[in-house]
Amino acid sequence: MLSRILRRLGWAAVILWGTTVITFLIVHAVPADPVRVYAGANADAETIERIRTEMGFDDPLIVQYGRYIGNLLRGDLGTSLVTGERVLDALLAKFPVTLSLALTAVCLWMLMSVPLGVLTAKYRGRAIDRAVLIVSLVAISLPVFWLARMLQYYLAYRTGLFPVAGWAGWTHIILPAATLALVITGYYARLVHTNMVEVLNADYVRVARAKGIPEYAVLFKHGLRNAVIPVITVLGLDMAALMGGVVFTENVFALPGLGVLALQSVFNLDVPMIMGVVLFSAAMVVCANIVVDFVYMWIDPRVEGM
Amino acid sequence: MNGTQAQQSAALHSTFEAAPGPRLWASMCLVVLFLAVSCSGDAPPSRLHPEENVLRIAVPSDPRSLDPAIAYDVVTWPLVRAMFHGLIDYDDDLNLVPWHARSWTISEDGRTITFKLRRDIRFSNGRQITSEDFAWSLQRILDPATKSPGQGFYRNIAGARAFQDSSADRVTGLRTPDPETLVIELAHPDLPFLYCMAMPFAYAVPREEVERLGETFGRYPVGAGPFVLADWQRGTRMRLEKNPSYYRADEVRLEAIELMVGGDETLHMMMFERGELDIASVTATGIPDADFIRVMKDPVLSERVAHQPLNAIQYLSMNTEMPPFDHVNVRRAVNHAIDRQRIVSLISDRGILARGVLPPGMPGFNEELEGYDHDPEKARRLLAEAGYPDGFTTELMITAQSGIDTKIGQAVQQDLGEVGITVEIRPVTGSTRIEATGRRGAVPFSTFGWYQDYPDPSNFLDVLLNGNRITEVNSTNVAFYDNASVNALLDEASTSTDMDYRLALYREAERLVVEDAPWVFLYYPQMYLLRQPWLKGLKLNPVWPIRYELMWIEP
Repeated sequence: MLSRILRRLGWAAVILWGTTVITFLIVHAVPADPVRVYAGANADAETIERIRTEMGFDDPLIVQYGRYIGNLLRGDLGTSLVTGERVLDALLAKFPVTLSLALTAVCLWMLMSVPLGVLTAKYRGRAIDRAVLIVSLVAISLPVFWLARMLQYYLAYRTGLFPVAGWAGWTHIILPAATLALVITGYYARLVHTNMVEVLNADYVRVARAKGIPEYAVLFKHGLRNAVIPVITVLGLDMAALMGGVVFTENVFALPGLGVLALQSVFNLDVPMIMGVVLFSAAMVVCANIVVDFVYMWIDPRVEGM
Repeated sequence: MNGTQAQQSAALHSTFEAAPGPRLWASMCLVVLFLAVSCSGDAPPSRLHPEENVLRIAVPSDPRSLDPAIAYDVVTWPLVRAMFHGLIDYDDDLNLVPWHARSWTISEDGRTITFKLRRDIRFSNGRQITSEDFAWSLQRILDPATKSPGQGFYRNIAGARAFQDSSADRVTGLRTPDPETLVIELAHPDLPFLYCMAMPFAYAVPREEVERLGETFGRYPVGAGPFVLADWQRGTRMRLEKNPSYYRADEVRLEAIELMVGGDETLHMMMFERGELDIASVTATGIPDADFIRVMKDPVLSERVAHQPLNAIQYLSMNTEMPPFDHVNVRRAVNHAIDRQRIVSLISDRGILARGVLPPGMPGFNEELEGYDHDPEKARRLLAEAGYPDGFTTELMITAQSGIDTKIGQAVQQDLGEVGITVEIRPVTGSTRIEATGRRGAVPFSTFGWYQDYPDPSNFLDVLLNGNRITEVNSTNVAFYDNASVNALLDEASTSTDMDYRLALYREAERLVVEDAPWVFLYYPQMYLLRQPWLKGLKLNPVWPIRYELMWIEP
């Protein structure tokens, strides 16, 4: 077991290292000049060259990369070219916003999708099942940025029920989280539905019913408990994806999270910040994968051989 | 990496087995319609925080730094001005007026400027400001370690180059005979240098705080302006509060300025209409395109619009070194082929038709320039004369994020198509466009905008069109336009100390430039600001559209 953990961690390190190489190459392959972005369009050629020397951008790429990795191994993610802020500080400052958005959204969509999934499995093929199916299909097909703008327009701008945008308390998180939840609920409702249908046809459920156990206990104790396991797996991966930053939703609602940070640093060609955000997101996904793998092994020992 | 991806993977993995019936569809549409209608309803705009004398505004992204040596954009400059203090300032007619300097004199040869300073002004840390502070602040701009984008404006100070190349440990041209006197010696005479002294780069910073805070000075600025920074959560909000020790504190009527950071103009417009903001947008474009016509037609809103022609120009740059634009008649033909009036109407008339380089608010503006009228027939004739009777194919580089660039690009494509020139539009990011257009022989045709650093013709003609300024990379002369007569006129004007004579030289240079047509002169942009009725004291001028110290709230 220990060797397995070590092997997984070793691969995680390799993946993250690969991420730094690829990101570094892409950022430097962009036909644009970070110094020029920093100095502004009005700066003259001499000023730009002096700043380039000062920032170390005139060194060969391999030297710059070596310097980056050296600092990274010492836990230093570098300093933003644009704001002079330490990259790690910026990531840690934005992470709580993204995390609270992700957690709220997950709670909302699980609260909606689990009952819907159970209900539609119980009444499979009936009107309620079809209605939920259609609404899910529509919701999944909605572009996030459009839905976000619509909710913002009607529920915040026109009626003033919620703040239009910004980050100044828990009321600001509701609309963005609802946006995410609305588009994702449908998928999870179907996921729960499919697994529930399978479970409800299983022999042990029929036995439970035959024994006269109340229907709610059949559904939630014997059914849902077994049906929800695959859902947890998908949820873990989705959480990791959300934690890397929710670019569209955060931007529409001006939430100062990792998604906005990512977009801003790309626009500013802020090389250390871009590297930091990508590395952070990659680390999230890698961690989630490891956790999910082990949770799976723990739930189902047959997976041991993977 | 984001919600959409999760959504996409969800959609990919989902399996749906049933198809909806038509009746269900109809009832669903009804439900959606009902929801939409029940959610709407006009709320009267009212100020959300009625009792406070606090200005509420929003900016799309964080200022990178509040350090006067680093800040260099139209949103941050007004904030730097609110927190720091400079030697000289502009009045509303763009004359330079005393500010921290009581007076100044320029020597006969134009090479020595002597400022006499006030003695009653203190930094917000309590220390009195002396001439030594201004001298040190200027030297700091020139110090390569500061990485100031403004260093080029002060390189004409005697000894600046030696200091930048580390062959001198101080700038010899900066002298402080006593705490009230600052003497600046220039390497060569330079009238516009005084304008550089009015730029925020030249504002005073306290040496002890800069040395204490190092690179974080831009995050925790200490100055002598009417406001001090009270709070700044990056990416979220910034709060400036009135500086009680400001020497004219009794004239400052706002208690605080509260900035929300984030969101775009459309979002800020919504917040403005909800009464959450006092000005719709403080960026150069002001009111979002999509809302502009509605605002101007609205009898109530249009009353609250303030507008100001900017000392700026929007143009298309033709690379005069690259065929076919190396032929002057091709460039003239392109100028005649493009209907600039239509382009201006595409941006809701928020621009003044350009007939030359200098905007109307700029000294030396020439009303008599005729420029190029829209005349496709003449364009075809000129093309034939230049040896392109069937036109040619070229590529126009535009900034992808810019809605205005897209509109200009499409209009140009259509107009030039009429005379046989096929234009392919190449959208790139702003940073790519700046880099590529500054490289010699790289980009034949590109959209461009220029916003003044200071109101002197040299800031347009000399910087953008002097052939002696061409560099292999990072050239600001993106047309790579090199006309010996123009260069001679511009070089003479830059060292002359007679303002009227200089303006005459610039006019002549501009006339030659228009004749040679290295650009398509499109329009001079105008700024439109939308304010709430309770916001008072919004006074615009082309250098300082936003001056927070003049504003107040009157509920």
